[in-house]
Amino acid sequence: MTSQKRSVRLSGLPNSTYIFIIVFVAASIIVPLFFTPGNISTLLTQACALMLLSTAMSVCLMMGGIDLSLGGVVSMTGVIMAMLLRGGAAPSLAILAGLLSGMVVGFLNGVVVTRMKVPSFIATFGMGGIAQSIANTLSEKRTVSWAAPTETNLLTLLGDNALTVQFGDSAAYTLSISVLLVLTIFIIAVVLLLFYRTTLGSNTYALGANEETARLAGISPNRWKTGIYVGAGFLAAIAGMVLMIRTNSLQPMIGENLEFQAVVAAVLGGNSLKGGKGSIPGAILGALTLFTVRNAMSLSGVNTSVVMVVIGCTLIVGMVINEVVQYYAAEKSKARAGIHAL
Amino acid sequence: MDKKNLLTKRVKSTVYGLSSVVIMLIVFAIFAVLNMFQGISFLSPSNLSTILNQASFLVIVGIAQAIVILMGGINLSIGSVMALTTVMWGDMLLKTSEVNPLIPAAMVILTAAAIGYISGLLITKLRITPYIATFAVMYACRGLAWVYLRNRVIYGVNQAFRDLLVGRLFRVAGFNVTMPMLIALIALLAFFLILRGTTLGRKWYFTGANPTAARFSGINTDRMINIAYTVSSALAGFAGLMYMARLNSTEPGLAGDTHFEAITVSLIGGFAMAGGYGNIWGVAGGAIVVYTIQSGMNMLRLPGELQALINGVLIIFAVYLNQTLSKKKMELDNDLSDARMAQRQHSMLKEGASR
Repeated sequence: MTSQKRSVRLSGLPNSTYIFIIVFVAASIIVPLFFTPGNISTLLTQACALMLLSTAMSVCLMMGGIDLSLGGVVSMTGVIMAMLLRGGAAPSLAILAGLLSGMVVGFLNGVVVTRMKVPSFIATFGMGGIAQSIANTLSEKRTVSWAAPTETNLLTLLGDNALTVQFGDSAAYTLSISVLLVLTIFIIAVVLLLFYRTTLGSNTYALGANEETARLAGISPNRWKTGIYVGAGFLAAIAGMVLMIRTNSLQPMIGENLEFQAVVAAVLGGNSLKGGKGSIPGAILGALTLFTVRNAMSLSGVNTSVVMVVIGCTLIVGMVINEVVQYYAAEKSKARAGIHAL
Repeated sequence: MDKKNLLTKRVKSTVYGLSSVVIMLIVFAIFAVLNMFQGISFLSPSNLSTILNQASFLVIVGIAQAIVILMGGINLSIGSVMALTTVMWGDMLLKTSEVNPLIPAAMVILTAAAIGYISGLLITKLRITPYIATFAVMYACRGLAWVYLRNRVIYGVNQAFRDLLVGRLFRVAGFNVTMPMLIALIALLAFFLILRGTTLGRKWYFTGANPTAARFSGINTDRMINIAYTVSSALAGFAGLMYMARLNSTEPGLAGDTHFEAITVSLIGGFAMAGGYGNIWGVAGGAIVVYTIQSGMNMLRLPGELQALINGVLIIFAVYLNQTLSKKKMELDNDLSDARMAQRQHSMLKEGASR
């Protein structure tokens, strides 16, 4: 009985849990400066943007699509917000404009995919190129920075720390939870609630598993798909905002390749590129795994090219662990089914 | 149904089948007109030969991608395999080297094939999605290339070797016929024959269209996939040699965006991401489209930032057109086969009546 319970729990966790735990423990043991409050807070704040993007990406993947425009949208919305700020616009207005533009790109993605029936891979890939090129054209490929605000406004509020706990006197022993991290967690929580407590989740899985049966079951594929792409655009715009506030300026190429990291994080988390399965928490843990590897290696002063090799190998190991876990879960459930049959 | 109607349908179906050619002509027309306003003759023989020459490089990587897409997979590691293999053996291909350049060239292709075989094993034995497996290989190869060469650049390639791969053959009325064109043509022909005429090719199509059905009908699908990735990667290695010969140098950052270009080329060329559908000649059309867009916009002196925008729009539009046309072709083909069936029935009835 106990073993049965354990097996249920084993298969219930997102796939990337195991690789994340392995990587995290290994990093804590091998790299002395890794497991310090200061570094953990840096790691989490750095991972914010990718966590948001992998959330968006995993919903798109579960729906049976893919959104390769996320990186481009991050750059574009970031540039739009930063340029408005430089022009002296109110921060709330600038952020609103950025979010809206992200949603517009998402809507266009939806239209091209659903109305023009272009495969999502190529539609969003093209759209990502368009968004990135808008970012480059507007900013003339130069870093956009703005005058530091004299009094507290929305920007300084968002750039602040929500909570600081001192464990020692050096910076490494200060745990600081940034407002950006709180905001990210809040938004992800809202997405998770929407996904698992409303029809959004079940409809997404249904669309991803078989679009035709979903349509026959009364789900309008066009409307849901477009909606999900708009949501993905929105999340990407938030990620752009997070990056912009964290770095206090914006480099127009900031979003480049982020969509690939998001795909990798999502797939590490058990999402299939064929759609119909996967989970959002898995994708987020995947994103954290990637950042743990990168952070630990840069702390120990490893050459960036070696980091690339290691990330590639981590990916393969992660996928193999996913496979092994799934295999054992399937074996266990088969064994259980056998007992019931007897 | 009258005969004339049938004939127009048959012609239409053939035209729709050549969708990548249609897209190519449209793109050519757009840029010819746009450049005409600037007083540049876009369709001059010398410019056409430049476009064809450059497109030939894309044809090789396009085929490498297309055969993998045909199997329902994707190969993101093309560019980085090109970089890693040429960087590994590049020193032996230099002017200063005493070794016969054919030996390192063969080693490049063999190493690339070995990497492709590893990708294939990751996909078939470890059951990793192609996208992720080749992404990991891409990262690993690119990283290894940087680790191996550090910040050096390999420069000054053996001239005889360069001539062999990128030299000019002859000149007809201002149109240069070059080695890359010949190589691309041979490659296209070879893969056309493999896909059309050999059991391997038919098994590839079948495996791509429906792996389960293929497995149950006795095809060793894992082996087919392994072979496809090995061949794809070996072609990437060969393309790496061609790029190296063209640039007269190689470095770990070589061919950074090539996997994208290759995907674009094969999708415009009419290969379906789902696998099992596509015609190898489409790759030629796709390569020409991609390079025409680049060259056309360069001639118009559009800023690089704006080029990416137009590129994005054109890719979406081209794939849209491609799909619409191939769907129409399928409808027409259905009509045609219906008509043929009706005709046959009709004649059989007639025969029966005359007896």
